[in-house]
This record gives sequence, C-alpha cells and structure tokens, in this order.
Amino acid sequence: MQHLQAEKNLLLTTARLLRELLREKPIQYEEELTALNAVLEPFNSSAEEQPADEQS
Amino acid sequence: MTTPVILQARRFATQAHGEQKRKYTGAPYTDHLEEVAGMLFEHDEHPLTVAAGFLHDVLEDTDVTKKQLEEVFGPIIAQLVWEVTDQSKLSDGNRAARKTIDRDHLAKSSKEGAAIKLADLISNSRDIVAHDPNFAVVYLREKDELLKVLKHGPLGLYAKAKEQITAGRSTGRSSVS
Repeated sequence: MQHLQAEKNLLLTTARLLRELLREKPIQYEEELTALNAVLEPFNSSAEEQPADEQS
Repeated sequence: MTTPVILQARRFATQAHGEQKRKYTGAPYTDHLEEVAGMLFEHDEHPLTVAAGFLHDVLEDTDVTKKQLEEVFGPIIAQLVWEVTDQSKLSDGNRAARKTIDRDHLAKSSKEGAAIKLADLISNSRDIVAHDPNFAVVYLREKDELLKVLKHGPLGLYAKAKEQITAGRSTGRSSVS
C-alpha cells in the first residue's frame, strides 16, 4: 500500500513539473515579446516616417 | 509579419549584412533571411523565433556581437541566434572535425533554435542542389547527419527538411551513376 502511495506521489510530482516546464517557456516568451514590442514600437513609427523625410 | 520586434529584426539584419550577396545567384543576402523567417512564420513559430530567423546569421557573418544582440533584442533572441551559430574555428581541424563541433552545439539547442536551423537548412539545400550539384553530394550528406540531432525541432519543418535532403540525395546519386 505504501509502495502504491509513493508511486502515486512520484507521478503527481512528475506531472506538476512537466506542466511547469511546458508553461514556463510560453509565459517567458510572451513577456519578452510584450516588453520588446513596447520598446521597439517607436522605432517602427520613425522608420515609417523616413520616406516622407527623404522626399522633402 | 508586422510585429515591431520582427520588423526591427529585419531592419537590423538588413543593415548588418549590408551588401552581402548569396554565393550562387548573387541575389541580396536578405533574400535568404526573408526565406528563413518566412518559413518560420508560415509554420506558426513564435514572433521571437521569426525575429531570430531574420538575425540567424549576424553572429557568423557580420561584426555584430551576442552582447549587442542582447542589448537590442533581449536575451531570448540573442540566445536563439547563438544556438544556431557555428562554434568551430578553422584551427579546430579539417571540415569533418569542424562539422562535428557545430553538430554537437546544435544538438543542445532549444526546440525554437532547432526550428531556425531546419528552416536555414531547407533554404540552403534548395540553393546548393540547384546551383552546385557536385558540392551538393557532400553538403547533403553532412545535413543528413545534422538532421539526427535536430529531431527535437517542430515536426513540420523537420519533415520538410528530411524530404528535401532525401530528394536531393537521390537526385545526386542518379546524376552520378
């Protein structure tokens, strides 16, 4: 009985670790993407304005 | 592909590669970068991976450093580009020895890094098979070995790369015999 309980605990721990592993990367990627987009957005706007500057 | 990070990666890579051209066609080097990033986009890779696709050759072929990439594009993109950058030096020995070093490095890549390398491999194989059939025999053999350490990459890109290399090798064999 104790043996079965130990196996069950091990399985639950493994499942939790796997869930964390799978979740960790997308969250990390999404956070970085949001932060980068916020920082880089103004550069995009200035790049779009450039052709108009060149024409003048 | 209109996310700011992708657009900026494209601009940065275009400036960094400057006037570089593709070896066989003389086309702008950015054609290859567009093809690699485009493939990643089509296979629904994350925007950071697509951005790294545009930048995948800057550490190998330009003066840009990993530190600079980190400063502009953050640690994830810098890490992805580093994962797909050859680590061998000419002083490491013959071509086979250098390829082993680079293959061992790629074996440790993330799934996203493997995705970039697979797209790069598809683009380069296409070019070499079309323009240099003699070198293609050696190149495709090396890439077949490389595929063995990229099995952790996305299934769709892996299958496409495998199909292309197998087709290229059978064409090479039939043209040699």
